[in-house]
Amino acid sequence: MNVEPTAGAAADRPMIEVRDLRKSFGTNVVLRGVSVEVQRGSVTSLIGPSGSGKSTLLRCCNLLEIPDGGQIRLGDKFFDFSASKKSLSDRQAAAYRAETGMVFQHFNLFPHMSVLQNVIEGLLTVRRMPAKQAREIGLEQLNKVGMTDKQGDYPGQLSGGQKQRVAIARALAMSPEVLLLDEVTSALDPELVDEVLAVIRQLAADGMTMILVTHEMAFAHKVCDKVIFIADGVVVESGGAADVFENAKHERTRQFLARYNRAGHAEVRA
Amino acid sequence: MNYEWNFGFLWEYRSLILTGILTTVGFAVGTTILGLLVGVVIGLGRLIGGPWLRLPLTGFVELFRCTPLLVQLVWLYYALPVISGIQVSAFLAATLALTFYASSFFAEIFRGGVASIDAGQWDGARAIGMRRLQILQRVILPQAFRNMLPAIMNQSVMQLKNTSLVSTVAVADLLYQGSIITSATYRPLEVYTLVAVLYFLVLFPLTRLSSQLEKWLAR
Repeated sequence: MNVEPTAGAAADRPMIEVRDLRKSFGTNVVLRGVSVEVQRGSVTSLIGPSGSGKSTLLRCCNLLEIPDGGQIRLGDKFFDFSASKKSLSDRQAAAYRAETGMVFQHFNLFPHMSVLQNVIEGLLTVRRMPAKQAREIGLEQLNKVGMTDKQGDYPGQLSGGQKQRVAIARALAMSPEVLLLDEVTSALDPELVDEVLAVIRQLAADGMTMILVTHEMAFAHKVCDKVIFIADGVVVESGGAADVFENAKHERTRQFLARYNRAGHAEVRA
Repeated sequence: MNYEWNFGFLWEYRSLILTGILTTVGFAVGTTILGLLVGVVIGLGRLIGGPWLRLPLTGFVELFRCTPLLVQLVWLYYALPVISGIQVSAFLAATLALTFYASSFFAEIFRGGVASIDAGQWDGARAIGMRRLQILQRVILPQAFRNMLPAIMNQSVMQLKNTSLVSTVAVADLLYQGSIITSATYRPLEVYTLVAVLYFLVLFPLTRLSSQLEKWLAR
């Protein structure tokens, strides 16, 4: 395991480079050598059947799972997992995670903290920021997701869509370099999906670099710059959203997209 | 049955009975607090320590969970001095046995409480860069403690009843005082009826409090 800052990131280099990433859980091989590049300010969606490894790939990008092999570079932070993974300390992984925001399918908000406390917890505990300054940033982020008036509520009092917007604000408060979104609308009632997608669309317009695992095909088609189709732990096809959705080269991709395409690119929800 | 109940004579023994109650409550409170402290330390050690720490701690917990308190007490009082050459007073043997016994159960309650928190809470906290101890302190334990409270209350009630075993090594708790009064008066029925009532009077408010607490927690 190597952690070496590489000197001055070249402007033309992708912001995130994942090389030959491998991950198994016991005997279950989930990622079989996945390589992905993500440009700064772009929105990339990972699509594919359940169990294809897309969520695991996303979790590896945040070191929530430690890969068994391969490399990850984010900006000037570089991790090589080809040697031993034991030397990656809790401290190193935590410092890295603080700079990569992640939002989860089931929100994972802290139920014993108010909305604002949830959002500023990382600033207080990880960044050791004074409470007043943290509060200002927290309110700013809550404003961005339209949740300022709920700042004193507890997660249990919110709808799913509201919870997810707070979770996005919590991730944004750490000013991450990239936002990883793991099926963030899959646990929501259908009528609540749009308010969360609207927030993501706005973030895309603001230039936030995002990677999202999604089953919202119409959203991936219209909002994402790049689409990566993953099946059985490998990248089957990747390219511009329009290319993949309208001119998929691989049979496997076409099969997967058939249901969406049959529905005439209407809003299809898995 | 023509037994003539007569509780009047017990008034003479009020100071013995009072010392008994104080000793019982004192042992219960003291060893519950000590047991909680030791139990939390064991629980934390098993949670964040390596296998070299987890294994002996789990061994300790299982040893005290899987043997009767009475056996532990007698063993600490009679057998330990033979093995170690250190004479242990009845008070110390009773304190150690009650503390270790309680701590093994509290350690299990602690483990269960932490395990009851959804893995997503760890994910959420790790994703904003929190470290293991910070996550435990800020996110997991505050929630786990709520879940542990009813079990802690329950174990504390048991602990007070378990203190009655210390009478076997002649610690002057409520039950021991009862046996003293019995041998002086030959009226065990009245004596042990009073002893039972006194245990009940101490514990009943505690179980009421505990169920109030559970209602409050369930809000």
